[in-house]
Amino acid sequence: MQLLRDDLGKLAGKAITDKALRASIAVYNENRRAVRELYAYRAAKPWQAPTSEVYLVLRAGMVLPPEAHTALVRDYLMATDGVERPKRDNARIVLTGSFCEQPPLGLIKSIEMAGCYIVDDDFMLVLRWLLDEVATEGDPLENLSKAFLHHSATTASKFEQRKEEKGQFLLQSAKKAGAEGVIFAAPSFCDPALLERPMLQAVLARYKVPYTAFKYAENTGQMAPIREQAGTFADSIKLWSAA
Amino acid sequence: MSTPVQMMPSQPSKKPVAPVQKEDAMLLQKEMINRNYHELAIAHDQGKKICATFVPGNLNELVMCFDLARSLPETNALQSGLRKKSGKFIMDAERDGHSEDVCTYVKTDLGMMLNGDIGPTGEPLPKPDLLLLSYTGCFTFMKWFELIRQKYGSEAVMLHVPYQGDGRVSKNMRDYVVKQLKETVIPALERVSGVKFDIDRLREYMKESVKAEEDLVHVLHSAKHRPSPIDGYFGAVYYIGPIFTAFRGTPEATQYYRVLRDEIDQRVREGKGPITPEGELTDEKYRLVVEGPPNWTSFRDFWKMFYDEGAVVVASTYAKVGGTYDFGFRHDPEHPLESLAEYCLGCYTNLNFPQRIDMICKYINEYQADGLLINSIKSCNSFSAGQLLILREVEKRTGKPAAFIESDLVDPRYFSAANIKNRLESYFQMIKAKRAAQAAPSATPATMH
Repeated sequence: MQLLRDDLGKLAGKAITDKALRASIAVYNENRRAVRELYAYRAAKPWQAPTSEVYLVLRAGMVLPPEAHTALVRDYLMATDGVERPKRDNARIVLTGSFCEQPPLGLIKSIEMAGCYIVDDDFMLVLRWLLDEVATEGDPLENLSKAFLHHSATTASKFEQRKEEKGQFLLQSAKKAGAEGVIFAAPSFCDPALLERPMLQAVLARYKVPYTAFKYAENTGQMAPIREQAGTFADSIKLWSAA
Repeated sequence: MSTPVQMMPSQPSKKPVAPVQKEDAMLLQKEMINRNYHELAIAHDQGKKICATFVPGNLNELVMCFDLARSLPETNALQSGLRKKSGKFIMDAERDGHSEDVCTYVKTDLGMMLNGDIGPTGEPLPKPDLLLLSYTGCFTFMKWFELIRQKYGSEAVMLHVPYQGDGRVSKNMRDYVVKQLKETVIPALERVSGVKFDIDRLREYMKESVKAEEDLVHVLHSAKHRPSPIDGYFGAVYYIGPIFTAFRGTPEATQYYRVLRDEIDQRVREGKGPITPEGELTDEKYRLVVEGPPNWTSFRDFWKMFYDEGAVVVASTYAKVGGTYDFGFRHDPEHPLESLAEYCLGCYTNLNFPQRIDMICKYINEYQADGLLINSIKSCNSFSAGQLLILREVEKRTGKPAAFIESDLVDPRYFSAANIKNRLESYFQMIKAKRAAQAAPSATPATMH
C-alpha cells in the first residue's frame, strides 16, 4: 500500500499525506453508505427500484467523482420513492457471479421481465467491497489494510480459509435480502466464478435454497433463452415452492 | 543414446505399431514418474501422509523435510490426457455441474475422483492429507484446491505469492513470502506430518537441487547449437518432468540430469538433431520459439506436425513454468527460505507481460529462431490472456513472423488436427517467404558488381 501511495503521489506530482488519505476515506465511507442505503431500499421495495435502473446508477459511479456519485444515488432514492409503482408477484432473487465482467443491461432487464426481483447482486463489487466504515482516525494505511483484510466482501476471487465458511456469505445475503432463490450468472471463461459455482450450489441445496445457473458474455445479444430460464425459475418458486 | 520402445496399441488394430524412439533419459524419467505414482498408491498403507501441491511454485525440498509423499494434480491431469483418459473424466465433471469453459486440468482431476480415484497408471491415488496451495499467478489453483477440500475435507494451506506487477521482486514481497513460510506453511506441514522442521535437512535437499538445475540449464541451452540436439518444447516436457514435480532435491533427480546432460553433450559432439518418436530429426529447417502449454491428448500427432516439416522448437516458455532457471535462478542452501520465496516469485506465470515479452524476444535472438508460435489453450486463462498482445509486440521487436494456433490441454474435443496442420504449414511457408525476402536485397547489390 505504501508503494501504491508513493506511485500515485508521483503521478499526481505531490506526495499523498495522511491528512489527504483520511479525507478521501471519509468521502468513500459516505459513498459506501449511500450505496448501502440504495441496496437496502431495493431489497425492501424492489418494485420501486428496479435493478435495471439501480445498475445504471451504480455504473455511473465508475466514472463520476465519489462525491458526485453519492449525491446521484441519494437523488435517485428520493426521486424513485416519490412515485408509486405497481408491485408484482415476482420471485425475489439474488444474482451472483457477475463481479468482474459486467453483464449487458439487456440481461438484467430480461431477468426482471421474466418475473424476478433482484434483491441483491455482486455487480461492481468495488462499490461495496468494504463492508464497514473505515476508521478516519489513526494510521490511514493501517486502517485500509485492516478493512481489506478483515471487513471485505466474500467473492469467488478470494481464497476461503475454512471449508465451513464456503457459501455462508451468499446464504447470509439471501437471508438478509429476503430472497427466495439464487441465480448464478457468470461470464463465460470466468474460472473463479464458474469453479466456485458447484460449491455454492451444494451449500444452497443443503439449506434448501432454490437456484438456477447460466453464463453470459459482455456482448451477449440473445436474451430469449435467459428470459425463458429465469421465467421458469421464477414460476417454480412462486407456483411450486413449499412456501 | 536412444531406445526403440514397443508401444501397446490402445485399441485392436491391424496396422503394426512402429516402435517409438526415446532417449534413455526419457525412459528414466517415465520410470521415476511411475514410481512416484506407486509410492502415492501405497503411502497410507505405509503410514505416510500425502501432500498435494502445484507445479509452479512447488516447495518440493520443503515438503520432503516432513517425509510427505508428493502429488501434483496438474501432472496427474496431463498424464491422464497422454493416456487418453481425460475426455471421459472431463465429461463426467461437466455432468456433475462444472462448466464447459473452465480449466480442463481441474475437470480431469475432478472426473478422476468421480471415477474412483484411480491414477493415470491404474493404481489408486489416495486422498491428500494436506493441500499446499502455492499461488503463483493462476487463480484457478485456489478454486481447484477449494474443490478438492470440499470433496475430501483435507486441510488446505495457502502460500500467497504476490504477482510481479511491476516486473520486479521487492524486499517486501520476499519477506512477505518468507513470513508465510515460517508462520503458516511450516507449522501446517509439521502438524499434518508430525515431523519437526529441520532447516539443515532443507539445505541438504537444496544442494541436490542446484546440481540438477545446473544440468537442466546446460541441456536447455544446448538448443543454441545448429542443429539443435533437443526439442525445447516437445522434448523438454520430458526433461522438466522430474525437476518440476516430486523429485527436485533428490539424488535421483541429480542422477537423471547428469545422464541427460551426458546424452545431449554426446549429440552435440556428433552434430545430431533431436530424437523424435520416429527417430532422429536429421534435417533442421525451422527453428521456433513456442509460447503456451502443449496439447496432451494428441501430443504425438501434434509433435509430428513439426518434425515432419523439419521444425524444431529451440525454446519454450512452458518449459519454465516450474522455474526460470535459465535466467540464473538457483536454490540457495545458505538462504533456504528466502530462496524458496525467490523461486515462487520468479515462476513464469507470476511474471508480468513485459517480462514475458522480454523473455520471448531474448529466446528468439539468442537461439537464432525463425519466429514465435503461440499455442493458445482454450481453457487456460493464466496463459492465454494477453497472448495476442505478446504476439504483436514480439513481431514488432524482433521482426520475426509469429503465428497463433488454438487447442486445449486435455480436452480432446478441442484439438482440431486439420486446422492446426493447415495453420502450421502456412506458417512455415511464411517463414520461407520471409527468408527469401531477406535474402533478396543482399543478392541484388551482389549482381550489380
